[in-house]
Amino acid sequence: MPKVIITAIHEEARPLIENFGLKKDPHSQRIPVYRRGDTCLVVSGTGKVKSAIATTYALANVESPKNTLAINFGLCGCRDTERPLGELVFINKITDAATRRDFYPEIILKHNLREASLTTFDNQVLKGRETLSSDMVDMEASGFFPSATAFIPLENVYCLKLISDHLEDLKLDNPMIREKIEACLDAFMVVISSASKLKSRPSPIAGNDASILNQLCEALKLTITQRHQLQDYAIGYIIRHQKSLDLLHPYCEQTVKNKTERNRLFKTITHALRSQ
Amino acid sequence: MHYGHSNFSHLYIERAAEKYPMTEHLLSRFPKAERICIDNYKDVFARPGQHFQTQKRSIKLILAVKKDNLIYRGSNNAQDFGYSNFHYNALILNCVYNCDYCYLQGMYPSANIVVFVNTEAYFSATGKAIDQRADPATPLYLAISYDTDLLALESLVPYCREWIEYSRRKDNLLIEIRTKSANYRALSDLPPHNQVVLAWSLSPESVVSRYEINTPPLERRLESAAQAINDGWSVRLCFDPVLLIPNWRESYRQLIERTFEKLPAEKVRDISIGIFRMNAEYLKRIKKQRADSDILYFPYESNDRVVSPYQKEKDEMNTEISTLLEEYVDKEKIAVWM
Repeated sequence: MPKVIITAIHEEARPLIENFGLKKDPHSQRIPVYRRGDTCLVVSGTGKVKSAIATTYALANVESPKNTLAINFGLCGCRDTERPLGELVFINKITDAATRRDFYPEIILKHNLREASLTTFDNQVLKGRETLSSDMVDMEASGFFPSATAFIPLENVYCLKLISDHLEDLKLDNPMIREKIEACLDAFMVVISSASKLKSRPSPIAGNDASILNQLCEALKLTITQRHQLQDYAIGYIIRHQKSLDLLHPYCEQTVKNKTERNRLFKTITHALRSQ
Repeated sequence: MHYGHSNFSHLYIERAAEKYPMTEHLLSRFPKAERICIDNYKDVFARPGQHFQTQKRSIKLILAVKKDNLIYRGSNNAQDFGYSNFHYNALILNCVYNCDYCYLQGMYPSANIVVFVNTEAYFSATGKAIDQRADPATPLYLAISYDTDLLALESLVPYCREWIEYSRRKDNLLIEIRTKSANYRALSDLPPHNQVVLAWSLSPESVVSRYEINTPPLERRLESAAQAINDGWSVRLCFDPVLLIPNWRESYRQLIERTFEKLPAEKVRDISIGIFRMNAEYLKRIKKQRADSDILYFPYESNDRVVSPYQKEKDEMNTEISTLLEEYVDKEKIAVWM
């Protein structure tokens, strides 16, 4: 399953780039993109607007949006000092601090991480400076999430954050970040791997049948409405009879000269799909 | 390997719902569930981009306060059994079952279950509706298990019990609790009450196993209904929806025979027959989301934005099933949805 990972900074990305063996995409200059096989990682830059832009850039043209995973991975602050630095958390609610708008990731996937709510701020947050109702804070998630769900199914969008500080100026330095990310890579990979297997939204018409329908639509120059109707009847035929659409092969060879002929043939085909 | 969470792994709790006893009860039932605080249940329930069947893999519970529309006038797609003051309410949205033909898939954007916890407000609205009912000569007929299956959830959310007790305190109220569950035991300690109708939806076993996912087998539903009759409850049988499956005559003949082998026909309050029907827009939405059930793709006709088998087939099915039922019960007891 194709995976698109969005991180804010290179320090967050580097251990993942190495782990997946990703190579920099030379075609992407302004927004750094790293790829290998079906895995793509984008370094967005800090802040929700940059995250939204990078997410849109990465997902707008994916081949199979229904079967693509999008993951926002990065560092976050945590107000609860009991939670250890370096813990990977699964975000179940994202609040945009500026708009007070909430987003709720779909949590179908069973995982072993602790869950938390998160608020995205426009600036760095220090203890006592903001009233917080969330467990975690970051600067990207509320940009990433609505952008990702605009392109791919809700249940395929994940936000995984690593606790880097307790809202104090004392933060992890780069080697420490790397060490903490490397320490949680296994947990990260387990989530990604399980998410890839949690297949949703299967396509009703596969392979050869899809090709037959496409041929037929082109050969008969069907209208958009007729294409929808044909698909509907075809799905009905496939699931009622547990058969492929081979009965439509002969019609793919036919040509039509005008609308009347097309409509007549369309009626014949739909009748065949309904009555058999 | 199963990659999905179990049902009710997460509780979404409206701030306004936090202090209600039902909320506290449900929190105590799921101590390990993740709790997520929300402002309005619609923020979760009506999120864009949800996929009903994907959510059925791991249903979440949303606890909310219903602020308006605490009681509705009866829908044209439901039977009123001759009661002019037909109303229904929505104590819970959605159902633990997952029937292929269920209209809820097209009506709601989410498969998650919303439990409205402000029961007293519902009682108050019902009291007003009783007082203001259009026909004072007949009681307010209220279906409380309408867009859900309350009895299936009774062990978790004991609303049937609360409403039965409420009906004992209120004259001029008749409530119907419709179910596919076999959970009568959850009510069996209560003395029967003549202002309550327990209604079981029955389908041939072949339909149950193929199209009524997660529901109890026919035999267990019949055992539950038999026990309720035996205890003195007023029991309705609903052959609804009747599906136009290839061997429908034989399947429904066997169903009716088996029903009256298990239940004393003379003690059944009444019977309803309803051929499959659905709002055309709902069916369209469902078909956009799923293509795994032939029942959604049978050739149907659409009349006045309602989809159902062709009239000729409907007439044939209604006549056949009514005739079979009339061997056991008086014609007057059978309500046919035309």
